[in-house]
Amino acid sequence: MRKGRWPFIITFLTPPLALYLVFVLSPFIQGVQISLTDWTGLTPTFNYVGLQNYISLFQDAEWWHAVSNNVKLLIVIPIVTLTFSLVLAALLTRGGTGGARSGLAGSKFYRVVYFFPQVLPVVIIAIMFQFIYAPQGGLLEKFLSWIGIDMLSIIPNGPLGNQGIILWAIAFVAIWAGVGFFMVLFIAGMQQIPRELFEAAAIDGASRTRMFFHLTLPLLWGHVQTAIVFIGIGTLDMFGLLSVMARNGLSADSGADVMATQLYRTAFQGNSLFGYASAMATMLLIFSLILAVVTFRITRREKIEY
Amino acid sequence: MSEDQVSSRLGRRGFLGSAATLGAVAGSPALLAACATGGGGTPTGTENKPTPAVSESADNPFGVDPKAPLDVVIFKGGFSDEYAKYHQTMYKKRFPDAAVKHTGTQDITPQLQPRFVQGSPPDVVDNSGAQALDTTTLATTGQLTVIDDRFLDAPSLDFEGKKIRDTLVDGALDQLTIEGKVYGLPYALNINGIWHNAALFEKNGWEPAKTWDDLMALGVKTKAADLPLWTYQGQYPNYMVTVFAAMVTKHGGNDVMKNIDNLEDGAWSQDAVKAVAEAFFELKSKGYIMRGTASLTHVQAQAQWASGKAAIIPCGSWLKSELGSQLPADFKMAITPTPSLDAGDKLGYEAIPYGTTESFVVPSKGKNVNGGLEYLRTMLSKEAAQKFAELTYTLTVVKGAHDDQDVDTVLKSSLDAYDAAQAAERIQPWRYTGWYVPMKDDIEGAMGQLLTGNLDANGFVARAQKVADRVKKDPKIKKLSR
Amino acid sequence: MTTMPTAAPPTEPSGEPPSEPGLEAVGTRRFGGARILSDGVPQIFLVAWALLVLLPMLWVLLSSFKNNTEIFSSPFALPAKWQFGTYARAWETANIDQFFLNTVIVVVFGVLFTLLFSSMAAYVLARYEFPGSRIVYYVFLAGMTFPLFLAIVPLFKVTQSLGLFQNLQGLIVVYVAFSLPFSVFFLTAFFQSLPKELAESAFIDGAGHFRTFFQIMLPLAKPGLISIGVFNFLGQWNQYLLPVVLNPQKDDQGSNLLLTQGLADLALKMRYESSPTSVAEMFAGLIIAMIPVLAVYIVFQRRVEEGLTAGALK
Repeated sequence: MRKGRWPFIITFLTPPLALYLVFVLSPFIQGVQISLTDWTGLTPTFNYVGLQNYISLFQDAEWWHAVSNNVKLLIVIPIVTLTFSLVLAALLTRGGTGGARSGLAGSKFYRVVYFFPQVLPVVIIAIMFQFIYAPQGGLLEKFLSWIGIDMLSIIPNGPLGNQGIILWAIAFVAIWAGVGFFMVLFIAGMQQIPRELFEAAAIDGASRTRMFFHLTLPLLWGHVQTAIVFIGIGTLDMFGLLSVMARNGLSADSGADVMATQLYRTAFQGNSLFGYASAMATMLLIFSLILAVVTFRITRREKIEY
Repeated sequence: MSEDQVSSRLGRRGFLGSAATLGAVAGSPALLAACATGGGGTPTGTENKPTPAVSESADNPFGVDPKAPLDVVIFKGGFSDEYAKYHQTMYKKRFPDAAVKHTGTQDITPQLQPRFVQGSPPDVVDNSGAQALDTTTLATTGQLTVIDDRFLDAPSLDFEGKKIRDTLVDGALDQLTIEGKVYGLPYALNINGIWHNAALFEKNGWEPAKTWDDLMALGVKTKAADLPLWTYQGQYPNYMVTVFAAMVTKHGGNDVMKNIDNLEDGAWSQDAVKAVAEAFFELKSKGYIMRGTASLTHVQAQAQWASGKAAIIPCGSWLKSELGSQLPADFKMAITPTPSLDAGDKLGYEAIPYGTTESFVVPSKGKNVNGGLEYLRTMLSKEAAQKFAELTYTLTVVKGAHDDQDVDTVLKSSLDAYDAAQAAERIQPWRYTGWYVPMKDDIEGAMGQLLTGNLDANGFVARAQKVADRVKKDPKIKKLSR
Repeated sequence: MTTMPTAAPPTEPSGEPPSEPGLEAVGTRRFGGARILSDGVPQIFLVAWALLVLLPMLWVLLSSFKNNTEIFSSPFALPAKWQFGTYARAWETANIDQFFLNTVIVVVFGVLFTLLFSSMAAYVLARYEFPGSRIVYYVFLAGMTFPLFLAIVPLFKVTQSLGLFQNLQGLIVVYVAFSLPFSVFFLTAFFQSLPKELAESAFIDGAGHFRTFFQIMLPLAKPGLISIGVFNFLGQWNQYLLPVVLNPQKDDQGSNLLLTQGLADLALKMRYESSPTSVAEMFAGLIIAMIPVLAVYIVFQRRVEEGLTAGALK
C-alpha cells in the first residue's frame, strides 16, 4: 500500500492544485492586494494607501445600507425557498415516506416542471421578470386587472419602481428560481431513507405529518444543511438578477442595492475606484466565510446513522 | 502582428496552452508575487506627443503612416454604427493600404478596460452609452491624446481654406475639456428639449407651453381630454435632470449650475434650484405624470408617448432615430425649449441646452495615434457630418455642415430650435455629471424620488446637498472646477 | 468544522443492486400505510406552483408571436397576426446558433475536465494521509466562498499573459479552476464514504495506485460524479460575469460569444433598436435559448435526479 505513494500523490494533486493556484487563489490574493491601493483600474500606476479604503468603507453609509439589504435577503430567501421546497417535496412523496412514483397523480410531471427555472440562465429569468413586472401591460398588472385589482393604485410604478417593494420583488424571483432545485434535492434525500423505518412507525400508528417531523426531517438534516450553505452563498451574490432588474432611476436609493451591485458600480461605473471596490470585495469574502462557518455551527446536530 | 493574432496563435497550442506554459507560470514569481500591475506608465498630467511616421504635409497634416492599421471601436447605441462604417470607407479611400478594423459594441467598459490596463487600447473610441469608460479618470491619468493646436490648426478636409477650429460650433469641445485641455471630440450635437405631437395639439387647439403657468394650464386641458400631460424615461431620471438643469439655468443664470459643478457650499440651496424643485413637485402632486412612468425604460416611455398615451416627453434630438418604425404616420414630432419658470427668468425662453454626445477619444497609447487624429479630421468633414445627420436625424458639431442639407422635418425642428437659441444667452453645459459619476447617480436617484412624490422640494434639495458634500469631502475623488 | 459531512452510501434495499439507488427501488414497492394526507389539498398546492412556474414561460412564448402593442395591451389574447418572422430575425441578428455551439463546447469540456481534476484531487485527499493534506483540503474549500469580483481584474491579466483571453479554451480553463472548490469538497466526502476493502484487495492483487483509481474507485464513484457533473453543468451553463469580462466580443458577428452574453446583448439592443416587434424578437431569442436546455433536461431528467440522490450529503 505504501509503495509508490508519493509519485502518485504528486501526479494526482499537481494539475488540479496548479490550476487552482494560478486561476483562483493568486487572482484573489492580488485582489486583496489591490484593496490596499488607490488604483483606478484604468492605469498602469497606483499607490499603496494601506487600510485607507477600509476606513472609508466603514464610514460609508451607502455600503452599510447595501449590507443591511444583503442581510434581509439572507434571512428571507433561504427560509422561504427551503420551506416551500420541503413542503412540495413532502407532498410529492407523501410526507417524505417515499412513494414518489406511486403517489400523487402527476407527481413525475410536477418534478420535471418545478425544475425548469433551474435550467434557465439567470439573465433570461431576469429579463423575463422585468417584463412581467412592467407597470403598463406587464403580465402581473394585466393579471391583477383581470381579477379586478388596479396594480398601479396599490403599488405606484409597479414592483420594480417602488422603493419599499423592489427588493422583495427581486427576492420573489430568486425564490421562484430556486425552489425546484432544492425540492428535487430533498426528494432525493427522502428516498434514501430506509422504508423499514416508516413501516415501523406506521405500525405504531404514527400519522404522516408526525412521521414527517419526527422521522423525515431529522434524517434529512444533512441535506438541509448543505442546502442552507449553498443558497446562502448564492444569496450573497444575486448579482445576475439585481444587475438586470434593479437598473432603474430609483435603484440608487430604492433599497435594491446589495454588496455585489454596489461593488460593480464602484469598480466599473463610478469614478473607477478599483482599490475601493476591491476592499468591498474583500469584505464580501469575509462575510461569506463567516456565513459558511456560522451555518455549519448553528445547524450542526447529532448525526443520525441509519 | 496584432495582439489578437498572437493570442489566437498561443490559443491554438491547444487546451491548457501546454504544460510548459503552466510550468512557466507556476515558476514565475512575477505572477504569483501578486503584483497587480506592471509599472512604466506615463506619470499623471503629462502627455506623450505622438510622433509623425511620415513627414507632415497639407494633405497628411499629422504624418499618418499610410500602411498602419486603424482600430476603431464604436458605441452601437441609439445612433447604431452605420455612420461609422461610412466614415471608415472615407478613411480607407485616402489610405487604401491601411486595414481598418471596426467593432460596434454596447459594452464599452468590459471590452476596453483590459486593453487600457494592458496599454494596448484601440486607436479611436466612441466612448458613450451607459457602459462608457470614465473619461475624467482616463484624461487625468494621461491615457488620452490631447486635442491641441496641432489638430485644431490643421486644414479641414473639405471646407476650403478653413482650419479645423473654424469648422466647429461654439462650445463643441466643452464636454471633453478638463482643466483647460481638450481630450477628445464630442461629435453629435443634440438639442435637449421637450417633445409634443404637433398634429394632436393642432387638433385640440393646444399651444406648447412657454411658461410654467402655461404648462399647468395645459395640464388641466389634457386631463379633461383624459390624456396625462407628462411622461419621462422613468428608469433613467437623467432626462428629467436635464430639464431641471435647463430650467434652473434659465431662471437663475449660468452661475447657479456653475456653483453646483464647483461643489460650492450650499449650492443646492440656491433659490433657483429650490424654485424649480417646487415646480417639479407640483407636476407630480397635481397628478400630471402618467401612471407607472417611474419604472418604464426609455424605450417603453417613448413608445407610450408615440402611441398617444401622454402629451409631452423630454428627450434629445435623437428621439426620432430611437423610435424607429414605432412612429405612427400621422404623428408630427416637434421639439420646444423647456418652459420659463416665470417672468423673472434671467435667460430667454428660446435658450435651449444643446449637449454633445458620442465622445470620440484617441487613446494616447494606441498604436496609431496619428491615424486616430486623422480619423477625427475625416469625421469633421462636411461629407462625413452630412452622412451622420442623414442616418441619425441628428446634427453634428460641424459648423454649417447642415445648412444646405436637405433635412427631414424632425431634424428641421431641431435646427430651428438651435437657430432660435442663438439669439438668447447660451445655457452653458453643466459638468458634474461627467466629473463625479457617483454624484450624478445619486442626484438622479433623488430626482426619481422627487418625481414619485417620496421627497418634496425641500427633501430633494437637502438630499442633493448631502450628496454634493459627500463628494466634496471624499479624498478618493479628484476635484475639478470651471 | 471538525466533523466532515460524509456522503451517503448508496442505499441497499434488499434484493436491489447497490448501483441502483433511489427511485426504481422505492417506486416499485407499494407502501401500505394509512392515507392521512388526502390527495385534494396537496393537489391544489401543487397545481398552483406549477402554474406559477409555467405561466411566465408560456406568456413569453405566446408574446414572441405578437407585435409590441399586442404584448402590452392584451397579454392572454392570441395575436391578431402570428409574427413568425420574429424567430428568423432573432436568429439572424443574434447569431444564436453560434453562441449555442460555443456554450456547448465550453460547458462540455469544462464539466469533463472538472470531473477529472476534482476526482483526482478528492481521491488523494480522501484516501492518502500525508503532511499538509488538511491544509490543501482547506485551501480548496476556501475557494467556495470567494466572491468572483475580487479576482476578476487580476484574472484577466493572468489569462491575457497566457494567451487564454478572448477565446473558448481560456474560458474552459477558468471554468474548471473555479469549479474545483465545490467539486473537491463534495467528492472528498464521497470517496471517504466508499468501502476501503475494495481498494485494499486490489492492492493485494498487485494493482498499482493508478490502476486502482481508474479501474476500481472511479467506477464506484459514478453516482457522485454524475451528481457533480449536473451541478457544474448548471453552474457553468449559467455563468455570466466570467465570459463578459474574459471573453469580450471579438468581431462584428460575436463569433466567440456564449449564449448568456448573446442574450444580454439582445436585451440591450432592445434599449436602442425598436421595431414594432422588438420585444417579441427578444422573447423569441429567449425561447430559442430555453428550448434545447429544457429538452436536454427532460431527456436526462432521471439521471439528474439520480445524481442528486447519489451525491446528497447527509
